Amino acid sequence: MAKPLSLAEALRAYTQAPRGRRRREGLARAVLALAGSLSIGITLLIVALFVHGSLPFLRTVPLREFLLGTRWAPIHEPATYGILPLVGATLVTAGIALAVAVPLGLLAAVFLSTYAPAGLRRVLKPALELLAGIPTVVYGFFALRLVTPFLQRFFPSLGFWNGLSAGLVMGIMIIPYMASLSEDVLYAVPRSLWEGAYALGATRFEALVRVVLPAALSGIGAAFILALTRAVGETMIVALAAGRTPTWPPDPTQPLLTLTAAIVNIATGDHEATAFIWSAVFAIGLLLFLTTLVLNTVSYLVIQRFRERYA
Amino acid sequence: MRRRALGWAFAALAGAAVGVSLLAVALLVLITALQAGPITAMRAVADAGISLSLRSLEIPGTREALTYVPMAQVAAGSPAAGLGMARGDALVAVAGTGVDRPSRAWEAVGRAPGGRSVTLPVVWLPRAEVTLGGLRMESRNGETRVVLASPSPAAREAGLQPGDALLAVGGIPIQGTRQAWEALAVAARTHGVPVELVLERESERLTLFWDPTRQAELTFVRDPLRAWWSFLTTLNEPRYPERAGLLPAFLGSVYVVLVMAVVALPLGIAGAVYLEEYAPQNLFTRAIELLVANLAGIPSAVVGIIGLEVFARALGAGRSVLAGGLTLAVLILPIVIVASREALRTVPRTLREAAFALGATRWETVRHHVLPYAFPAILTGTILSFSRALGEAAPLLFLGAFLFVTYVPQGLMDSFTVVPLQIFEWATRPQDGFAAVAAAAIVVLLSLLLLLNAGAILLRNRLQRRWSE
Amino acid sequence: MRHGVVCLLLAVVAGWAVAQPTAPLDSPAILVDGSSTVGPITEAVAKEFAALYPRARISVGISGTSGGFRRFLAGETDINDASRPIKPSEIARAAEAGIAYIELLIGLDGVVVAVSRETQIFRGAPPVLTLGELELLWSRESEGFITRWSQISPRFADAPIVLSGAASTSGTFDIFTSVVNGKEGDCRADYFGTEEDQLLAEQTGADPFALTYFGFAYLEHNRDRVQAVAIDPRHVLIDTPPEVVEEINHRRAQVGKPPLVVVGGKPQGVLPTVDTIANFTYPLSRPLFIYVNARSAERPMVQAFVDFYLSEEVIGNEEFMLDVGYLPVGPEVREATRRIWAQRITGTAFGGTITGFTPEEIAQLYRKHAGL
Repeated sequence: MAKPLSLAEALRAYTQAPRGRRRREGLARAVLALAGSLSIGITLLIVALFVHGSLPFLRTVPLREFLLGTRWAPIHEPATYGILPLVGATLVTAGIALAVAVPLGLLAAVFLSTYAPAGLRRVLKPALELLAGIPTVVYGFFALRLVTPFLQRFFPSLGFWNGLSAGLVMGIMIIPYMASLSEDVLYAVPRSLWEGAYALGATRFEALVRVVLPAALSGIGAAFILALTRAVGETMIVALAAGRTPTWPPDPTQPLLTLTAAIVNIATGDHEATAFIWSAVFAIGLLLFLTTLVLNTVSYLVIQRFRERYA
Repeated sequence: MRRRALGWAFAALAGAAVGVSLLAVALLVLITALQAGPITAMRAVADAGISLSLRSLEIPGTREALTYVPMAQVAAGSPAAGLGMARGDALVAVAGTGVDRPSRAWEAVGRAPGGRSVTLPVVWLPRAEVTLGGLRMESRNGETRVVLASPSPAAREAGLQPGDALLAVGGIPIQGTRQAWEALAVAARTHGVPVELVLERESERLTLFWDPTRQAELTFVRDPLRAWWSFLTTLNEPRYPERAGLLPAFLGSVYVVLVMAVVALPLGIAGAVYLEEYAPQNLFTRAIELLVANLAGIPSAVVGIIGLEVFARALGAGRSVLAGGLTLAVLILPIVIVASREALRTVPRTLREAAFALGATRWETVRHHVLPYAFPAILTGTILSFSRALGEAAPLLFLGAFLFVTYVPQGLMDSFTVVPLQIFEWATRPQDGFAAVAAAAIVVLLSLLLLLNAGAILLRNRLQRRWSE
Repeated sequence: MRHGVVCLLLAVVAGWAVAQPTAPLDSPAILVDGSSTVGPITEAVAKEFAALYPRARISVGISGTSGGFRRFLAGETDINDASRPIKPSEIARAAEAGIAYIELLIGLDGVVVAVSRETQIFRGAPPVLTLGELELLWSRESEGFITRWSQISPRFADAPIVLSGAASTSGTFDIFTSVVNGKEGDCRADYFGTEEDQLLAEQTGADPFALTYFGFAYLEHNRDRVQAVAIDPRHVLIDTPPEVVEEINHRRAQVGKPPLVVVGGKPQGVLPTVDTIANFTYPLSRPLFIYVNARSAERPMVQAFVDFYLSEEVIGNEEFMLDVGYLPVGPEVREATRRIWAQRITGTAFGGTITGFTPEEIAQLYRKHAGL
C-alpha cells in the first residue's frame, strides 16, 4: 500500500519522464495559454464593468445632451451633462502636446537612427527614455510652478491655470513615445531602399526625405496615434496644471477640464454621493476606454500592414 | 555641394531637437531640485526645537498684511526650550531679519555665514500670559475697551497697572483681547523695539515705551546629509513641513511595487512566451495582440477605477498594499508582455532549431535555451516598467490609497500611501515650506528612478557580455 | 522551497486584519477618509494621538466628502470627515446598509470672500458687500446678464467682472450657494471653479477686478496677496441701478424667487476674524463634521481616538485649530458634541440639508439633536 503523497510529490510524479515530458509540455502549454489570454479577460472585464456602471447614467441622460451638450455642470441646480467642453479640452491639450512631440520626436528618431554615431546613440537613447520615466505628478508640478510663470512673462493674459502649460509639458513627456516607435519603424525599412537611393546619387538627407520617410510613413502614423492615445489618457498633468474648470469653447490660455480631470473631480469631490453621479464617472470612463480602443486598433492595424510590407 | 550642406543642416537641426528636449527637462529637474534646498535650514530650526506657524491680523482701513509667526511647538529638552522659549511665543527676528512668515526664519538660518554650526541672535515675544497677563473687555463710557485686569510681572515692571485700558500698540488700534498681544508681536517686528503703547488710565491718555521681547543666542546645526536622512526616515507630520517625513510613503511605494512585480512579471512573461512561442498566427492571436496593445494605452484614471471596483470591493482586498499592487499590475502587465515579446524575438532561430533537432519539446527549449538567452532584455524591459509604476499616482488615488498614515506599512493587507501621492498632497498645501518638501520628495523619487534605470542598463550590458562569450 | 514561500504568502495575507467596522475589538487600526477640508484636522489629531498611543495605526485619506461617504456607507472606513452634513440619498443608503452613524460637529470653517490687495473694484473704498449684492453677483439668474461691476452698484468701478470660486464638487460651493443664493447648487456657471483654494488666492491676488471665495485658512496664508471683503448679513441691495433691479427681479419671479429689495443707506460689513466667525456675526461659515460608525465606536482604540479628538486640547484649543487653518466651535456646541458622543446618539440633526439656515440656527439644531 503506497503512502499518501503530498501535493508537490504528486505533481512531480505526474510529470516524470518519459510520458511525463509530454504531460509537462501539455501543462506548460495550458498555463501559458491562460496567461496569454489574460488580456482578453481583462478587456472584457473592463467593458462589462464600465457598461454596467454607466447604465444608470446613460438611461437617464439623453445621449444627445451627453454627447453634444456644451454645459458640464453635474452638481449645479439644475444639472446639465454636456460633455463637449470636456472633449474639447482633451483635444486641445492633446493637440498642443502632439504639436510639440511630433516634430521633436520625429527629429529625434531621425537623428538617432540615421545620423548619430554609435557612441552618442548609446547615451542619447536611454536619456530620451528617461523623459518617459519622470512621474506625471512631477510633470504636473513643473507645469504649474515653473512653466506657467515663465510663459506669463511673455503672455500676461495667460490664465493662472491654463491648457497651454499642461499641453506643452505633456508634449515633452510624449516625445519618447513618438521617437522610439518611429525609430523602430525607420530601422525596419530595408537597407535595399537606402542603397537603391544612394545608387541613384542621392545624399543621405535626400534618401531619407524622399525614399525612407515616405516608406515609413504609415508606421510613423501609427506612432502618432499611439502618442495621441497617451495624451488623451493623461490625468495628473492636467489635474494639477489646467485648473479643472469646464469652459466652452475651449481656450488654451484659460482653465480647462479634460475627460480624465472630470473623473478626478467627481471621484474626489465633496458633493452628495449619489449612485447617479458615480455612474457618470463610469460613463466618462467608458467613453475614454472606447476612444483609446478605437485609436489603438487603427494604429495596430497600420503597423501590421507596414510590417507585412517590409518584413 | 549645396545638397550636402542641406543634409548637414538637417542633421544639425535634428541633433538640436534632441538636445533641446533633454536640456529643457534637465533644467526643470534642476530648478525643482534647487527648490528643495531650504530643507536643510528647515531641519536645522526644527532640530533646535522650534516648529513655526503663521497667524495674521486684519486691520480695516489699512493696506498692510500684518502677520506674525508663533512657535507652534517647542520640543522639550531642546536648545530652544533651554533658552526659555515655549509654545505660544512669537518669533520676531532671527539674525537681525524680521520674521513675517516661517520661510523668512528658515532663509535667515540658511543664509547666515559660517560653517555647519551657526549661533545666531534670536528675538522673541513670550506668550500673552507671560508678557501681558490677564485681559478682559470692559465697557467704559459707552465704549468697549480692552483692559489689563491682572498684569504679569513683566508688564508691571514696564509700568503697566491693573485697570489700564490698551488703546493702541505700535500704532495698531486694539479691538480685542487676543489682538492686544498679537499687535505687540507684529509691532515689535515692523516698528522695532521699544514699542509704543497708548493707554487710558483713569480717563487720562498715557504713552509708554516698552520692549517686551527677549533675546538670546541659539545654535543651529545645518547638516544637509542629516536633513535629507531625517526626511527619508521619519514618519510624516501633517502641519509643520520642517518635520515632514517620507518614510511611510517610501516604504509604501516599495511594497506596492514588489507586490506588483510578483504578480505581473510571471504573468506577463508567461503571456509573452505563449504569444511568441506557442500561439499559431491566427485571428485569435492577432486579437489578443491587439488587446494587449490597447491595454498598454489605457488611461490611468480607468485603471484606478478598476482597482477600486474589482480588487478593493469585489475581491475584498480593501485599500491594502495587495489591492494597490494588483491595480498597478493591471497597468504594467501589457508593458511587460510587449517588452518580453520584443526580447524573445531577438533570440536567433538557430538556437531553437538546434534544440528541436536534439529532441527537446517546446517547453524544454523555451525553459532551458530561449528564456535564458532573452533574460537580460526581459529584465531591462521589466525594470523600466517598475519606473512607470513607481511614478503613478492617479490609479492609487482612485483606489483609495491614504494620504497620511501614522505608521509604517508592514503587511500585505495594511493600508498605505505612496511617494507620488505624497508629492501631490504637499504640492497643494498653502503653508510655507510644503513646496520645498514636495520638491525634496521629487528629488528622492527621481533619484530612485535614475538608479533603477542605470541599474537596468548596467545589468543588461553585463549579462549580454556574459552571453556573447 | 517554493512550497514554503507560498505558505508564507498565504499566512501573511490571512494574518493581517483590515480595519473595518467589523475588525476585531483589539484592532489597533483606524481608517478615516473624507473631506480634504477636515482631513488636515484629523491628520493633526492622529499625529498627536499616535504620540500618546504608539500602538495606534491610523490612516487618513482625503477622497473628498462624497467619495468618503461612499466608502463609509459601504462599511469600509471607521470615520468619515465631512465638510457638510450627510445628505438624503446618503441617509437612505445608510439605512439600507444597516450602518448607524454618530454625527459630531468638531469645528468651523469661515468662507471668505476675497479680492486682490490691489483691487480697483471698490474705487479706493474698503471692500464691503451685502449678502443681497453677493446674490446678485452669483445667482443663476445673473449668468450672462451681470457682467460689469457697475451693474451692482455705482460705488463700484465700471469694469468687467472676473469671478472664481469653489468647484461645484466642493463643500465650500455647497455652503456658499446655500447661504448666498438660498439653495445649494444654485449658481451661475460662467465662473472659474476649482478645488484648489490656494490657486484661487493667487489668481485673484493678481487681478484687480477679480473676486473669489475660499476657506479661511487660505486667507491667513495669502494676506500679502488678497484681502477679505466685509459682509453685511442683510439680503438686500444698497444702491443697485433700477434697470438692473427690475430685470433681475423679473428673472427671479419667473423661477419663483422673491424679489431683491433696494434699501439704500450704507452697508455695515463684518470682516471674517476668529471672533466674528465663532460668534456667528460673520454670516458665511460652515460646520465641519466627523461621522463615526457606531459599530467601530465599540472598539477601544476608536473610543480613545474620538475621546482625544473631542477633548479641550483639540477641538477646544484655538491654537491647535488655527494651526490647521480652522476655528473651534463655541463652548455650547462643544458641549453638544461631547454629549452626543458620550451617549452614542446616532442619526443626523439636519435631516439632509442646511439650506437656508444661518450658522446660528445650525448650532441650535445641533444642540437640539443632542438633547440640550
